[in-house]
Amino acid sequence: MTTATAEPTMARSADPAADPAPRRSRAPLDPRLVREVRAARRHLARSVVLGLVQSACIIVTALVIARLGAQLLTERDVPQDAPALLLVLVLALAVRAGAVLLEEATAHRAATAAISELRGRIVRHAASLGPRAGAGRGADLTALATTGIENLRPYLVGYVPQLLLSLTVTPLCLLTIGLLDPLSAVIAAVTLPLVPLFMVLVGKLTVGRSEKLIADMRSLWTQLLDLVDGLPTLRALGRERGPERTVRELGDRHRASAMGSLTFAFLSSMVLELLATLCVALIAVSIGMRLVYGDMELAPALAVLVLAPEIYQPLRNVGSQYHASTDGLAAVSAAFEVLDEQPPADGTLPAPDLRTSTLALRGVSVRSREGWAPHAAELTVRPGRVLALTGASGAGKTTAVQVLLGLVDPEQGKAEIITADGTATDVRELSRRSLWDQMAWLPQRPVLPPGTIRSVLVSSRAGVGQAELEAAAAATGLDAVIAERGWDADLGRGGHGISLGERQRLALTRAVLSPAPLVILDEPTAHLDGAAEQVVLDLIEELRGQGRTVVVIAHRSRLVDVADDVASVEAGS
Amino acid sequence: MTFTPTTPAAPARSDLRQAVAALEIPRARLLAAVLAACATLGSAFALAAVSAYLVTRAWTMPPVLDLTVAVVMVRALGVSRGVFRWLERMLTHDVALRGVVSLRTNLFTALAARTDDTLTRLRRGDLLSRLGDDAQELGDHVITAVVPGLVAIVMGMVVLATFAPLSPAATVAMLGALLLASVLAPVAAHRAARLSEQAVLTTRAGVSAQTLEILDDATSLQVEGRLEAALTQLHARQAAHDAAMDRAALPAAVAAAAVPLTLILAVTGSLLAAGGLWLDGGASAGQIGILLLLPLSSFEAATALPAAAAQHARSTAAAQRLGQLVGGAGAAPAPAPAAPAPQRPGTASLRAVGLTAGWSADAPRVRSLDLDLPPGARLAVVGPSGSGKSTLLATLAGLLDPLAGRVELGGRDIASLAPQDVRSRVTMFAEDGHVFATTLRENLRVVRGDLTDAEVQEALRAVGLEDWVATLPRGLDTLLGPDGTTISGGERRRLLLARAVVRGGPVLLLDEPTEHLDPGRGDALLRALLDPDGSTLVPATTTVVVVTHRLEAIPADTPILCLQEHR
Repeated sequence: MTTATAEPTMARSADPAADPAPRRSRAPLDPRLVREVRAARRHLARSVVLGLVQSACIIVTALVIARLGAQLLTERDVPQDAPALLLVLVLALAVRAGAVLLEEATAHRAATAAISELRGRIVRHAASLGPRAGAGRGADLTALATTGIENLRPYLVGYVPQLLLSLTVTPLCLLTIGLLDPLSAVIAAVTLPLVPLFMVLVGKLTVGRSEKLIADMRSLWTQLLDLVDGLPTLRALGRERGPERTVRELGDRHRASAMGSLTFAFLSSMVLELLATLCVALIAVSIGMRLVYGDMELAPALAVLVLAPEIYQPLRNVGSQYHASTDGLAAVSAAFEVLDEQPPADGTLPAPDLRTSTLALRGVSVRSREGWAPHAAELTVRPGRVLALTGASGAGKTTAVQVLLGLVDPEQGKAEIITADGTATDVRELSRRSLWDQMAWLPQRPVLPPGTIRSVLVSSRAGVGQAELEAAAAATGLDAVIAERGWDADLGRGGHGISLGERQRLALTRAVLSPAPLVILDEPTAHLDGAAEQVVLDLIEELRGQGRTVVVIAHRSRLVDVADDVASVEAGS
Repeated sequence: MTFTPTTPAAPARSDLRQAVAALEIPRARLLAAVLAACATLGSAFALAAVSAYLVTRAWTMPPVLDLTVAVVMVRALGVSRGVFRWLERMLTHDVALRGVVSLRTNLFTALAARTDDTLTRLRRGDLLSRLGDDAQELGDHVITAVVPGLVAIVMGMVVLATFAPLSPAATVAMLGALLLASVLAPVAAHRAARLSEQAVLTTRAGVSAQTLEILDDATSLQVEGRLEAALTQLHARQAAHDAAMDRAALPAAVAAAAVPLTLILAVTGSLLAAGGLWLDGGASAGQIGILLLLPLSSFEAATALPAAAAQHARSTAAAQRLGQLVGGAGAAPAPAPAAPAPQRPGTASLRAVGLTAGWSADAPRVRSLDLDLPPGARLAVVGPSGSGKSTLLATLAGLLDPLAGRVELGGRDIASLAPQDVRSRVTMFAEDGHVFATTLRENLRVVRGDLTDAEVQEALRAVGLEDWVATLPRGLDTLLGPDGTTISGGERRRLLLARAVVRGGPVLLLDEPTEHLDPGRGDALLRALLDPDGSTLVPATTTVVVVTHRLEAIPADTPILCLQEHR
């Protein structure tokens, strides 16, 4: 029995987004995937079992057909007279179909479960790595967690089962042929190793060509997009007719280059097909010649003829799934690269009361892309006072605050909390939760929980009354937004339904309402105009009046003017 | 052939037909690819048949010479399959790549013909995936769906034609099995593909959005103690997506198991037929051998059908997206060239009558405007940002259809003139004009292919770029980066202005030509443009409309149109 080989199509081989990184040779199965992802492990075990079942079915089918055929030709016993054998044949074929059905259905479910599990773990782990690990990967990480990890599906559904079939069906069929007719087994055993040999040779021939193709594709895209971007201009000049010839020329040039690489790439599929069919042909001729001289029985001859193509079938299927395997393995290693990174350890000591404690940075330096940001930062946040943190952009103001919060481990120095009696504790030894529960932090881009204006505000302090809500809203200028939209306006997810300025006011109101003794504001006036800036300044005064500690990262001098203390950080190289 | 826009109501099926038509696949090449594919599968099929014949015939111990033909055939077929496979791959991919080139060209032509703001509204990423992934998907349509579909039909007939002379009963069994494999498997595969496509569009979008939110804001979520809640929500969304994806598992499995299942009918039917035939003496041993073994090798073409059906589902979705790109609701019908384009006259009058203009009917930017500009007239347009200055200019240039009223060029409604005719008389300089990733010279010659170097130099001098060009080591041959990223804002602007000047023509419309220039230079340029007698930059007979915010630089006797801000 033969199955069509679905070759990798040119869309994959010529994909502009195809990985340009040099392909490292990887094992076809990633041990970490097997070890750590239960769905993948079970899929693998099940595939081995189903591969064995399929092998048995293939061998039984061949033997029964050979037996029935030989009996018919030699003894003139029609198959109708051997109902038991017929039943075995039908059963073997049916069980094989059933095994394929089960394999495919469970492979899909296993892929779904594995993707689901890995995505969940990547997102959770990346979140726990803190701001720097996430930011360092940026777009790569989001691409991996959203679409990249989906490459596991073709790998698990298309590649892995065929790989395991080549480890079960191929040797078992070869073994059966060896028992029936050793000479045929020798022919097969000699041609089989030629497959990897020729694959390596063809691989050497095509090396560098796919990189060139991808580079070509990139330049085609740049030029094509340049023309598309320029279309309004061309239209305004009355020259929109004509560039389509350039588009066609560019395309034709790329096609020629792509066909050039494919000429060699398709040699590998030619070699596979050639070896598979040549092996069958050699076996058929060898068997025929021995039958003519009466050196061989008919039944084993027929069985060998049925089994010979089956040796090669899984190999051909594995070859056709090459891209599924490289893409899938790349996704797996990218996933484990994230998962293997150690998150900063949480401390165990409960944080002291921030109403009476001082926070301090002692010679803190954090490595950045250009050197150190901040470099040797020193600052002290005394309870009940307003500290303005200044510094040029890129000096590491936000990072300094993140060190203070225990979100980033500095390479040098430390963040400390000093209680009223003078005991200093490294922030890293504190349970972060107990620290964070005592602070309200407003990052530059505030994040809001989903819900209405009212529910978002109430969630910052349980049991807050309407009067307090209104007072807080008036203090931050949120009342204007409420007057326009109402208390029950739905903000959508993460406050995406409102403008950045409105979001900032809402987040400020939450900070005012929250009972946290420490309020940290990261450039709170960045998105606000002059009038709104005054609101923030008044707000800081009010927070000070309530006896709260305020750290404000300030770009504008008016924020510095209201502060009790000013600290500045600098980058270093 | 062009990729003509479809109405939004047109069914997806016709989108696919249009997209496939836009591939402009040459029949002869497609036929060659199909023939090569048939030869590939035919080689394997013939190899199975001849070797079955050879083995069973050999068992009857005929003189060895009787087997020579069969032996030679087996050896030849053992080689031919690999060679044909390579040929088929090459021919199929060549056809598909040619198709993708034609499709992209047609898409580009269709985009160029659109007069609405589709291009400006489209995000670059979307455009990239339309012209890239979706066009590629239609190339795959040829490789994975069209060719294998045709091959399956041909090979099905070859199989039946092989069995027919041997045994009618076996032929009926094969026919039944082939039909079952060719219908059940593709239908199931199509369903599986549509279910997963749908899941990707609906539930996975939710998963991706939640993933992005968590990754973007992980730190804030953590400090505020809301990370767990967000992760729980991601988990719930993922579970919903998983359930949707898993609905595709069963149909996909059915598609995969269909061919092994139909083998039961084919193998047993042929086997039983062989029994009766041998006893009746109706067939030779070699023919019995074929009936015994060939059914196992008769379904290779059919096994490609599930993938073909799945590809069909994906191609349909891609074609639908392409249809929206070139044809959505805002597409203007291609205007019939009403009047033959006259030779570029040296002068033209420009009038606006009760003109209301805007990008969408909900938000008109300019209302009921009347303008009368005889040849050689000069007009400065001022107003706060958002008051519709650029919109007015685009409408006067005929790039944007008026919402009400009309624009007259040389006394005729601009809507009744062929676009080429309008463009040849009205030159528009837009501040967002595109600088192409080619040489400085070609960036001016984009206006007129026959421009000489002297004319190019003259234009650059007129806009004050001659000093800059002199500093460039490669002069006019200097390559500019994509969209002018390698030159400064002021140089870019003056280059675009030089383009407009080179182009000339009776009507010149300029949008903020002096922005990004230092005030001295800018004001001098503005005066040169607006003062009919003051410079060689623009002939006195040319009608010039300039949008500017440099009110103080406008010459005293230039009429000014002041647009009001409105919300």
